[in-house]
Amino acid sequence: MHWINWVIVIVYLVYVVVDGIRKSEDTDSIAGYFVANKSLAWWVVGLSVMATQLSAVTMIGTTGQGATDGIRFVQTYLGLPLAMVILGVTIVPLLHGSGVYTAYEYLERRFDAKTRSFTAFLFLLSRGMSCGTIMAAPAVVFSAIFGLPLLWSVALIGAPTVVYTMIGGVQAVAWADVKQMILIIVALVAIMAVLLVQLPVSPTEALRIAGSTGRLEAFDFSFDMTESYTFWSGIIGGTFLMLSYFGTDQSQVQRYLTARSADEARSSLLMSAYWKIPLQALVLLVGVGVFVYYQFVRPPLLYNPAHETAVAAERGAVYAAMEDRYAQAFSLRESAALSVADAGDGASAAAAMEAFVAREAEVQAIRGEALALAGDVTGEATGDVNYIIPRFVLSELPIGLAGLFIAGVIAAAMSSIAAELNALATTSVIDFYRRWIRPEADDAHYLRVSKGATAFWGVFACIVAIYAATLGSLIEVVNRYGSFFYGSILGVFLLAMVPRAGSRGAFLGLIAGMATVGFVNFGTEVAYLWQNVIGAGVVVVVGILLSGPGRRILL
Amino acid sequence: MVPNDTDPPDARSRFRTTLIRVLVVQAVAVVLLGLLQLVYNV
Repeated sequence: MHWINWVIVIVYLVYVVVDGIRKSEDTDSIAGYFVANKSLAWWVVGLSVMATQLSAVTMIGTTGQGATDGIRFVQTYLGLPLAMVILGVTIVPLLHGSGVYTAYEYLERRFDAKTRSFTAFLFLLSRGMSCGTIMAAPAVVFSAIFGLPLLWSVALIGAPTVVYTMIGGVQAVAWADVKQMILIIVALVAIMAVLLVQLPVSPTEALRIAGSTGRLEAFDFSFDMTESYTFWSGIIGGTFLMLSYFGTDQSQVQRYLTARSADEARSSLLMSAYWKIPLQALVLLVGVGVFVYYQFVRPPLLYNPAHETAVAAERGAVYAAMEDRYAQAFSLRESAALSVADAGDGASAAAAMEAFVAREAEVQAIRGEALALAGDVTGEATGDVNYIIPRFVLSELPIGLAGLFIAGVIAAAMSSIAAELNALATTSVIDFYRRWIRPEADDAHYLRVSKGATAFWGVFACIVAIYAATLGSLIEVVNRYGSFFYGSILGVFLLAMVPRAGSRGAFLGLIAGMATVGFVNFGTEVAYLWQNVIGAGVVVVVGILLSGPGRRILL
Repeated sequence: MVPNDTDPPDARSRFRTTLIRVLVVQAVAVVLLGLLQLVYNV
């Protein structure tokens, strides 16, 4: 990368750390450290909520998905606006007004200590691992692109994040999120603007080319529960997923607990309700734009430069022959793409599209062969979706803009990781250390322990990220089991709003919900988004049935 | 879930207004994406 781009990245890293710490006030108490003394404005919290959800995986993985698969992933977010409105009148005022530090603390007040500790433990388990994978995704890509040792890539992202999160607590995280979110949006808009300027065809023609390969299929209205993304799974399953994520996951709950009032907390969530779908559409359309751009500029046969080098070194002749075939197939596809752009409506357009799709299939077939060869040579996973956008940015964007985008990817990683570290430390200290080990210590003691817990989780996340490749199967298992928790934990919170529900029902309902989702996950083909609905439903029904008669008081 | 009967009328009205506003904005986003699909996707 050009030195000017590196300067932009380093200036950004220094600025975000220094300013994050500078903006932290009154962090000498745990109320200041964990919930900013409930002092933040709605727009700060709103941007923090959005930055937490938008990770580096979105910047490099989802844009790459837009390039290879189109925009249908946007359906996952169809339930988000409704979920935000529902949370705004249920869980948000409940948690904000109850004076808790964690969502799980509320469950002890409503049910009992074991329900609280169990849900908090599930959060620590799943989020502790996912924090490492959030860091690993961009670190592995940076490592391959820049030729850095993985340890350095992890340190580049992890070290500044741990420093400002540990020193400044939630305020440093929130204020850093504000700047990071702005940087992310600027980077995405800039890349889209450059694409529009550099494309040799008009935006309408670009849309026609993308549409002919099915990449503009935003909605699938079939009611197929085994299909990952459909309109209905997005509306129904997505609502449950977002209710769970924003309503019961401490990494998000802690964001809006910092708001000045329940009203401001509600407004902060509504920011996502209005902006999430357009933002996600922009992310995916950037990927689609890159796909169209690469119809006219030949992209590398393998996007992962480390694999490219390894294959060229070990199977040079085979790879060179493959590249020749790829160059020919690319030229034919380019001509076919131009024909699609030039064709009007009617039969000639249909014929041009058919020819283009056939040429595109030929290019993809050669890419498939190259990926298989890379797999043989390196013994690593061959998917290179995450490398498409970074390669495009570094080879096609002007100097300065590439640095801005890389800084944006790091910003996206840092904002998500910081929120996770903050939430992991809060849950560790409030739900375990203060609850079970030292209930009577003073504020200064808890503050010291909290900073230590933040550092611990930061180091833990870095270790998971460094060994992500080795721990691959373990991480996959944890992530897969993590999906069992989401709907079920939402079910416990829904149960808390049912007056007759008791602690026995809540605990057994939670176990039943997770077991059912486990069965559905392994025993059926039902898609992930529906599992959240099933988990929440089972917890509520079993919870009510096993709670027995009697009416309890809601807190 | 909506505010229950004990909520003051202004809270219920505010909820309704917010819900309608959010749904309208989302409907516009969905219609735009749908148009993209209808016009260009084959």
